[in-house]
Amino acid sequence: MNCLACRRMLLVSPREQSSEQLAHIAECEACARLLDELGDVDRQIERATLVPVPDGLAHRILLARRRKPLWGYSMAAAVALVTGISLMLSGIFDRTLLLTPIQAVGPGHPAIAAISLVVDDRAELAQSGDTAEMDHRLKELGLKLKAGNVHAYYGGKCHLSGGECGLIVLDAPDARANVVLVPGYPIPEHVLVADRRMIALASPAKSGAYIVVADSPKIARRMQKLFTRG
Amino acid sequence: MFSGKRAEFEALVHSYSAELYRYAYSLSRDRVCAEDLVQETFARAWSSWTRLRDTRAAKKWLYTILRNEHARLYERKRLDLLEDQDLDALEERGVTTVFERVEVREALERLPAGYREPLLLQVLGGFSCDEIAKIMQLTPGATMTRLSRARLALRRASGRSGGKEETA
Repeated sequence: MNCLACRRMLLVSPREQSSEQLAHIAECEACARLLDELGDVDRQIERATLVPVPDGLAHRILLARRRKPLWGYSMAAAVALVTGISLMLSGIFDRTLLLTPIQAVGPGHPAIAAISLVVDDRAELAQSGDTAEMDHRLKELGLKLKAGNVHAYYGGKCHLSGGECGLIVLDAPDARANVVLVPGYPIPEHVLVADRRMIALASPAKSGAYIVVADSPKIARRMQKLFTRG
Repeated sequence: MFSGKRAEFEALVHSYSAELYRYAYSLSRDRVCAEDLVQETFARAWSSWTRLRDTRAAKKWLYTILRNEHARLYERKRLDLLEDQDLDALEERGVTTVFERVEVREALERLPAGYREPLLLQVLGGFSCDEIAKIMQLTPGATMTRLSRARLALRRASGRSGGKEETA
């Protein structure tokens, strides 16, 4: 290697040297000096970029992910509130379900994501029919399904807000619903949301949650009642 | 499964938020914008978290998102050939002599973005030429040229060289 080739490579990346380059530098004082100088320049660049990072940046990022934007809160709160009141008036929901305070959820909530999943990926949610996998998914959440006259089949795995979930399709003669089984996402209480003309009812399970997505609150509740803790 | 993914993501936030903030600051030169960019980067990363097959590629992925976000939010125009002229113009105007008296930091800020960015990605992010080429959507050859020219300009700025003898 000659000086020109060595210097060109040093200017590209003074931190990485090939064995050939190292051998040349060991014998060439000028190239060794250039390496030192470029190392100094890089250290100065590094120091120049060391601006103070705001305190608690990482925590704010994580908090922002858990929280929802204000518009999301207000919109979802309104949706949840309106839904709750209408349900109360129509007497569709159990008293116990309605006694829990209505909470606001934002677009990042799995219940909203479940609606998007069902609406946007309806065509892709193919019927896998793997009963053993469905049973496994239910067991994982500590749930049992007493389908009765409702035909239940496993729709395969899906992804929701960064996690792998299972999908069950419930088919009754007069109604249909999709149920997303979400392991490892504990929720303290039922959450009911309305979005994109669909209803999602998220309910706590032993080790996660399950979300019934249906056309109406009545169907969602009816399907949700098919699940028991097992 | 969810908690595992969440824990991975949280670890990523703790590992890279400071580094990304510095990169964001170097792009925007504004503290508020820099924090917004980092927030947006992680928000986007989280929403596509399942698409990331290899968490070892997460760092490059985050830098790419941040760079794209900066371009999107601040409508920065991509400068390619024009930037060569900018750098030449700086040298022709005799800026080298001014550079001799200023700190590397100022010289770095005066470098055209097309030269400053690959250098920052290399020095600050620790990326290889190939990785920088992918992040910046350049050819490896163009990346090497930019790195080389940027370093040469900064070396002159620090008063260590007055000419172009290194690559002549």
